[in-house]
Amino acid sequence: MSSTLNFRTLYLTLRKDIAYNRRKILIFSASILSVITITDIIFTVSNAYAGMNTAFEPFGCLILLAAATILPSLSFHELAKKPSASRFLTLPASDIEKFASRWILTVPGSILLLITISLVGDTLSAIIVRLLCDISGDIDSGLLHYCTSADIMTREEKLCYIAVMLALQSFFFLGALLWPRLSWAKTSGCLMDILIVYTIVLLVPVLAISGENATYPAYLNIGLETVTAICFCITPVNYIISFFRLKEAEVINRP
Amino acid sequence: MLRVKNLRFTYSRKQRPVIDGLSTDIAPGHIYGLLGLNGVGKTTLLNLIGGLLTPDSGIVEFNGLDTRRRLKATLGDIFLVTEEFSLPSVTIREYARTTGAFYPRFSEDDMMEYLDSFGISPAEKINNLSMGQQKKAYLSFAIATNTSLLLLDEPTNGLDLPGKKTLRGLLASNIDENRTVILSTHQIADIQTLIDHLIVMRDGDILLNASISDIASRFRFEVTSNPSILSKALYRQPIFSGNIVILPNEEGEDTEIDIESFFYFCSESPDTITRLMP
Repeated sequence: MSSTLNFRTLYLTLRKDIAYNRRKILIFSASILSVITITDIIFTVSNAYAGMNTAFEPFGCLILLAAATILPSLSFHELAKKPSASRFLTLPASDIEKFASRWILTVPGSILLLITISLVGDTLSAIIVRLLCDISGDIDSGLLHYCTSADIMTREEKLCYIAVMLALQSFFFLGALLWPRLSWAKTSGCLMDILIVYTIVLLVPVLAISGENATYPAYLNIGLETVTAICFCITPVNYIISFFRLKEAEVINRP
Repeated sequence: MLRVKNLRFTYSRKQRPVIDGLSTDIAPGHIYGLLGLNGVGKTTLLNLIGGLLTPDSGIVEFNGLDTRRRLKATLGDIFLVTEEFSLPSVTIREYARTTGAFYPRFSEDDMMEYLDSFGISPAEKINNLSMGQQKKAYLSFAIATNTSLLLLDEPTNGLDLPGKKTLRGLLASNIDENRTVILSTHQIADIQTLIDHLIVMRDGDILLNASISDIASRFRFEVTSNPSILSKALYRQPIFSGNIVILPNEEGEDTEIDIESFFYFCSESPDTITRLMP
């Protein structure tokens, strides 16, 4: 199969993908920047009135997690329609070059983009809050600081957060190949279904047997370290499955 | 050389095969017209040749390589112009520079010349052009890739009359002994003077793959009202000035082939075609 990697072709593929998706990347960046800045301002002001000197609650990290899944879910949007799928699949680049280009842009690329947007958003909101409300909103109290500060998250929590983010991105990257249309919604739905099944299969029997005095068995107390390890293991598996799915891709979407 | 061997393709298990046991060889240095009724599998065949679909069985080989593997060497030497196409939201020049770099023999100078022939400016943003103008830009790019195999699915759809004339001129002047063009179309009049080989599909298979000169050597085409000639005709179609007839060319006469009538003849009398052109 088409599995050779030539760095010049990879560079050409990256250059083409950036050039042809400039507008989408700008719209995405502007949208996320708006959400982060507005949310930052709201929480800074409300927390300041409550006597707290921080912009964010854990809700803010959920924004970053959600945002980190959007670009991977758009990795292979061309495959949603025949004309664009034809153009993508017939491009003279190997499967691994096409895969690598999209992975670079939507996984590490989206993380770098979100870090940059977060810094800009935190700066903007600090300036706006200081100008409008005369509250000393600091950049250091913004979303990025909240997610990275040792005062708020322990080292184990930060590692778990990173592992979950990487695993989620890999799920949405795979979802982009399985369901090119409405990829984010379908992948989210699938993950919710898995969580619901997990809950039903593992928790309901416990509650049914133990009744009102149910206590969780030890095996249901999954620690942070276990979650981190599972996420780091799932991530490469999802990318391997994604690669083989790309090799099988056709101009029509067959299950 | 393009080789199709025992190709079989079905869109869904509940449907009958669209392509069923199709085998044919397509030699370089010719412009092939691919004709067939709606739903017979012309676009499917082009997609299979382009590596965009996985056959249920059989293989398509281009220069000895399986096109479904979508190897860089094959993809860089085949270009498929689809009937419905999607181009990025950039200028034509930027499209040429970013996508042209993937094709080893792409010539930006040639493309600029072809765009000039079509009356399109390379500085224009693709999204600002009409569909017909986008088609002209797309065709200019396709021909400028100088690939050995050029597949065109309904290339004249959406083109104005001068555009069709320009396209014919560009294709005719860019064919050489190493290049193959396969044109799938229902607009036979647009390609009548361009093609030198005819492929007719029927029931998921190739009914006919022959050169125009071979067809002309076996069949005679006339317009007549003479009853004695009409009685010997293999095919006849009434028109205002008489009847278009197709007769066996027993005396080796040189008549101009009427491709449209010949296609109707193939559709109505496939057994006769198979018998007379094995």
